[in-house]
Amino acid sequence: MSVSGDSGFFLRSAQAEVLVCDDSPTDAAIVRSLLVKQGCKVTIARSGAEALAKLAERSFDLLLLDYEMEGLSGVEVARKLRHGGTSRPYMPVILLTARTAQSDRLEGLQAGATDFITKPFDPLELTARIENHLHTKRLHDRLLATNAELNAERAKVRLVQLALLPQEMPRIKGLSFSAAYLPSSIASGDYYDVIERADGRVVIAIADVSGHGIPSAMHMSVLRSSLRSMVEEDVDAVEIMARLNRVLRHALDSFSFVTFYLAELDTHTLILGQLAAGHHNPLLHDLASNAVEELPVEGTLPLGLDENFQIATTKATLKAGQRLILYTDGVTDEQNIDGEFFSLEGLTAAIRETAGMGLDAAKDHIVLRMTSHSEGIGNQDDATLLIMQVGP
Amino acid sequence: MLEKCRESPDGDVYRLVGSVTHESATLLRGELEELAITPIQRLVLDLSLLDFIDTGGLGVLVGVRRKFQDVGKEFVIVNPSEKVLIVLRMTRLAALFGVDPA
Repeated sequence: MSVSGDSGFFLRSAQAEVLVCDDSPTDAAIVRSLLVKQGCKVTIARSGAEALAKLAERSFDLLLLDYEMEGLSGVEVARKLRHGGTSRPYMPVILLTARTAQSDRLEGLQAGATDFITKPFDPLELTARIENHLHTKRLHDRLLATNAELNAERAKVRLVQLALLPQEMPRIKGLSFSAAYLPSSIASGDYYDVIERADGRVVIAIADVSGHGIPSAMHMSVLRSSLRSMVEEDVDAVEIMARLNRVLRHALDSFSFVTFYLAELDTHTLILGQLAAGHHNPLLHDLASNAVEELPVEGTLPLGLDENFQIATTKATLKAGQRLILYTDGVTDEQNIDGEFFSLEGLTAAIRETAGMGLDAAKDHIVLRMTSHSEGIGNQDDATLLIMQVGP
Repeated sequence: MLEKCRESPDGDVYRLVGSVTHESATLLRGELEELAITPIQRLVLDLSLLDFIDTGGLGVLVGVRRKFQDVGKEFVIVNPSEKVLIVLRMTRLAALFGVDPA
């Protein structure tokens, strides 16, 4: 057997293992010598039952089956393999037969055979066909291995990303937080954070990188590290936004941007200074009156687009007994099977149902309302929800 | 889905119909980028029949606008449907595209 030399991925030293099932010792010996010359390792089974027993023990790269045998016929063996119930890796099954009738071939194909070789066979044709099928088998195995490798990488990306989110919300007197992070695929372009400044003010942030998946997740991590280091250096909020805009203008291509909402809460006065770059307004839930309303923020373009970035702060004063709800558009854009959106109205209604609930229960309830809206489809866009409660 | 409506001295008018999401955004980007390298000097994109566009789709519009500008051409969007206008206002991209009639 020649092994393709162009790709280092193929296991050069691996010998193809072929199981030959033939009740005629003479035929089996001829086939074996041809295949051994081709570099294959050959195992012989004298009956269909013996072939099935060997296949149950271990896997082979190819099965060569005589059509007419005492006991189980080749077609019956193929059928049992196909309907065996156990999931096994792809293995080409070639039927060796003197039958040339269309109906016999059809029966073989329906039983799960991959190909036929007509007896008496031409040795060159036999080895050429087997080589072709082994090539397909190797491609198939390579695809599975690559898939497994990619999935393992993707799982790692997810873990790395989850570690970038607050592992534990800061403990701040008079405030509590609860968040849900729902990536639409393995990784998310959403980001949220709660950071306490040295002077006690609290920075609350939520962002959405346009697009999905790993590229968005990488931009999310740029955003997070930039923001965190600036808060640590006590950079002013307006300056933070301007610098993030600069960082992202370099990091993003011209087809991407980031919507970002950042607020700073003075825990003594409960004055909230808000800055929004392309991000929609937050919602405010007053628990006593059960009113839910948008907090209007002046806002400006998303980050990463405009060189001449200018942003203003919009102030609001919060009260004890209020919850500030931040979210990304994946929440409201959640669609059901009829294409109906969860929508701002749906979100508002869900929030109003949570007035009597504790903070975490309220968050879970809103997420449940959202996910049950799109039941069976799953969230199509990254979705994030961050709730801050003022007061006990 | 992108449809050609008419050619005019003020620019060729195309219409975006249905919804632009993660799946269709890549396709749309390719179609619009190709138009940027045709002799068209001004492309008008009508959004009156666009039901939904997500941030990825908005990214395509922003990027294509930049691409047209880079080669000295103009890319404008007109008549956004009510739903699309809400998104454009929410993201403050309405100002960038100059679509806000208010």
